[in-house]
Amino acid sequence: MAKVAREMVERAGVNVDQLLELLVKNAAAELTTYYYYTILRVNLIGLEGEGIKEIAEAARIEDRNHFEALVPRIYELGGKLPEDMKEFHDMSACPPASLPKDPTDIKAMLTVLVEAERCAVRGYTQICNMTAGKDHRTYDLSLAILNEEIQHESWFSEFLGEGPSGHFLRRGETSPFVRKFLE
Amino acid sequence: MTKGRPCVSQSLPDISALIYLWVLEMQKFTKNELAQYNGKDGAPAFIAYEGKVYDVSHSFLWQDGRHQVLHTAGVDLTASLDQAPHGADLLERCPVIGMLDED
Repeated sequence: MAKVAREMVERAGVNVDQLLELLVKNAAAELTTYYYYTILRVNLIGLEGEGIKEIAEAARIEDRNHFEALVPRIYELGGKLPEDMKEFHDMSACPPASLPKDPTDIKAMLTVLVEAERCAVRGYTQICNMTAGKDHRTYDLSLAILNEEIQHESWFSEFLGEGPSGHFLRRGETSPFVRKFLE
Repeated sequence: MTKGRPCVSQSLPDISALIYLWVLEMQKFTKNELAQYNGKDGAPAFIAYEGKVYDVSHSFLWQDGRHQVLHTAGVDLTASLDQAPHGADLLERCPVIGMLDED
């Protein structure tokens, strides 16, 4: 735990216990999404499925990166992850991104993916709002994650035909925004 | 026509008349009654928004009557939704089971 770092955040007026609970819940959402996206990815087959497999894979890897980036901040602020994996799963800030009943229904698959990303966008917006100007490190981290979640949402939204967004597939390494937190 | 109530057409039931009848059928909750449905200890989780009472008991995001750390069931969240990172459209996914009695 980083004592002074926590003290600074408390003195800035942030309820650190609430913030920690939110960070743990969002870390749970990232790791469980990584798991559920693994199942979605292997079921993305056929002409249509293969077309979105690459972005599903990029989102899957980046969600795992988000989990990895969140964990140090949780412990710096004096929090911890639950010892029980099932408890961790059930406390997720987002519902499970479960495989649709018909995995060949690509629209249903994309709906699961885009709903998961939208939940994440809401979650990190909330953390950014809570920490802006008060907890600079958590804000910086949450903003970096938010940038990637918004891109994920845009990718899946475009495949659903909801409208153009101007975002393209990753060129090169994953997590261009969060990478600096992954040391 | 009953005094103080909107007129309900006897011939062509337009949409407003149907909504009016639906509202009459809805269970009314006082704020104290609503508070009992806080999702704790197995109680159902109900919340109010703009006069409607929603059952959020089956929502993954309202487990044990808590929502994203900051909100609890059993209360009117009309003012809180302005601060939330989502609109009322997400509430529409949950069933309306009554109306909040403002008195």
